[in-house]
Amino acid sequence: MVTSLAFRLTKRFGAKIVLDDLALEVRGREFVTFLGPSGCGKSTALNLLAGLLPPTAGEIRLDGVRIDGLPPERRGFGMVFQNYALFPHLTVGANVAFGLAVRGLAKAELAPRVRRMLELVRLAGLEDRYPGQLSGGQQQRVAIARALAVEPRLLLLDEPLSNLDAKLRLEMRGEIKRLHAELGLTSIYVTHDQTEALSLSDRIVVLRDGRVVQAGPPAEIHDRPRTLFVADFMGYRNAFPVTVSSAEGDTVVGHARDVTLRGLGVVALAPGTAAVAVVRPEDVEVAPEPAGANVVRGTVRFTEYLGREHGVEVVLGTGQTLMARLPRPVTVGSALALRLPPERVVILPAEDGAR
Amino acid sequence: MRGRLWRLAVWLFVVGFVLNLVGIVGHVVVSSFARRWFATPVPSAFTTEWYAYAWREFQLDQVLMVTLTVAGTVTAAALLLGFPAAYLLARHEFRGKGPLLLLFFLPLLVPQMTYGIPLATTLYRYRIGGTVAGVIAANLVPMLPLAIFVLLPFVEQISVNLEWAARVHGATRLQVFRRVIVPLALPGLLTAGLLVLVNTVANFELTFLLSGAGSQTLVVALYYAVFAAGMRPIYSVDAMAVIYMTIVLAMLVLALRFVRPTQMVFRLDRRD
Ligand SMILES: Nc1ncnc2c1ncn2[C@@H]1O[C@H](COP(=O)(O)OP(=O)(O)O)[C@@H](O)[C@H]1O
Ligand SMILES: [Mg+2]
Repeated sequence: MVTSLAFRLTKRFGAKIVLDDLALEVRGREFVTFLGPSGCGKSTALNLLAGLLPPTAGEIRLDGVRIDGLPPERRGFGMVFQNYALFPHLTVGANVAFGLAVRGLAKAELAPRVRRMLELVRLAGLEDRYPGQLSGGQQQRVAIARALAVEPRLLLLDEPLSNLDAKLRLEMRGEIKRLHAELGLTSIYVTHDQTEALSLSDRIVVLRDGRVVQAGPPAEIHDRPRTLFVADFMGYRNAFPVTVSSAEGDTVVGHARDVTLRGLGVVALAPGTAAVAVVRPEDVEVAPEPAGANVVRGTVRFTEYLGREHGVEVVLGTGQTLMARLPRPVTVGSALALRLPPERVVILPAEDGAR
Repeated sequence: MRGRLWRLAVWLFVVGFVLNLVGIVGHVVVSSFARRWFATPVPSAFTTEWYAYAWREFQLDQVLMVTLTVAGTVTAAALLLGFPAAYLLARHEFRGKGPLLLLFFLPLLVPQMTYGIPLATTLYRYRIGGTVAGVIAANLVPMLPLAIFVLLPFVEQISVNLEWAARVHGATRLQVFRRVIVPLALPGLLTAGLLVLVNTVANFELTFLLSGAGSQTLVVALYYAVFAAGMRPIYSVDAMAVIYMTIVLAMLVLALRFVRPTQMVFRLDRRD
């Protein structure tokens, strides 16, 4: 049941533009994630795809055929909701069977398929329970089984893990990945959690205010953010305003008052333009020598023990703060030279109020 | 000290109230079984024959039939029309919804006589007045809003996500209604149905204004039995009153078994 999906959607609520010509093509068996902060239009996008809300403009094509005129029940999709949305008056079995029952399948055919679905999500034997008698994790498994039972052409998942505690979230993440691969599904997953997006996706689509700011494989989004917004979302918590001195191929050199930083240029930058060098706390390391390329100096202001490593906040000579994760403890008030590895520094155009 | 006095006063009031009620009701019940009752604390002899008399004389079989027809039809119509209306009102936001609801529920708030008389005049002009249909129509005027009023919060508490989940997985609008909305609103339907039933059986003003010879319900018949021309033994009127009280009480007990008054909280403004 390999399916390809292409859509271009605009949605307005009154004067508010929630999706601004959001366009995407999804290949069969692909796992695509919409990643973005709360309110950026992720759920709206899924609801438009499912046919639960009418688009203001645009079209949706499934295997080349337009389906935006179809009511939700004729699109043949499956959907998993954040709050599970299980039918509280129906048993687990009847919940899973729902999509098949409304399609008119005979009772005798339902039972074995329900059993197979519950085995798939590792809930065999719970057919006769009611959703209220299950734990959150079990309920979400039932919701997934209900969506899979209809053999969906497209599986939509709207923050399915955000109501679960950390341990269950990890476990269910694995389950979703397994089911997607095992059943050859085509899935669109919505989350505001970057680790979920990174671990699950074939492709991540970062959304901001209803627009795509960057789309690509997880590693590309993670290592080569194209805007400060994406960089921030991907954990580049340190940012230094610089002026571009030179740009050659991938390598950009920027300078601030007393430091020169070499880094990766993902977007073309002309010498002399204002830019920002960003780096993750995890990538900052203690400099082997007090001076050198990409080395900054400062005073330790704050430390925090994180188990495997030590979180350190350093005040630089410029008054800026730098966060780092170091393998060995340092004392508050001591002077410290830190190296920002050029291959882990990204230099991006300074942009309007992205932060 | 003041607290004790206060408690005593409350107790005296409650006891007095109950004694009074028991006294009146008790008197009527005893009287309905009395062969004769003059100037003695209790009747000298008892009989059930006043019930038979009332049954014949006041054509109670016909009156009960009318009462049943009116109450049954009003209840069914109020639920059948009220449920979709409550659903639409619960699911759709539009400007002026608050004031519209208020206007709509006006018949529940104002005394029935104020609109009962113009309503009756109109219905008589169209020759519906005086018939069972007229009584049903008049009773629906306050009962339909009542049904909607009671159903609204029950529908509102059904998450839209449940409807959406049903639609995405293949249910048509009608199937969503039948398989999700109605089962989940069942307590509300029961509550609204029983309230409408009790209120219709107990309604006097509108039924009185609209009923003719063959379309009286029990309350109205009771009124005529008491005040209409012709001497009737008081014992037979009491018997009829007992029948009426028994029916209404039975329905109330039934209603209270199913109705959870705490669920009938109505909010004009919602959405967080
Ligand atoms: N029915 C609606 N009416 C008006 N605004 C809405 C409605 N639904 C969503 N919005 C607005 O659209 C924006 C995107 O919402 P949503 O798609 O739920 O975001 P996300 O799922 O990314 O958190 C939000 O600003 C939200 O307030
Ligand atoms: Mg959302």
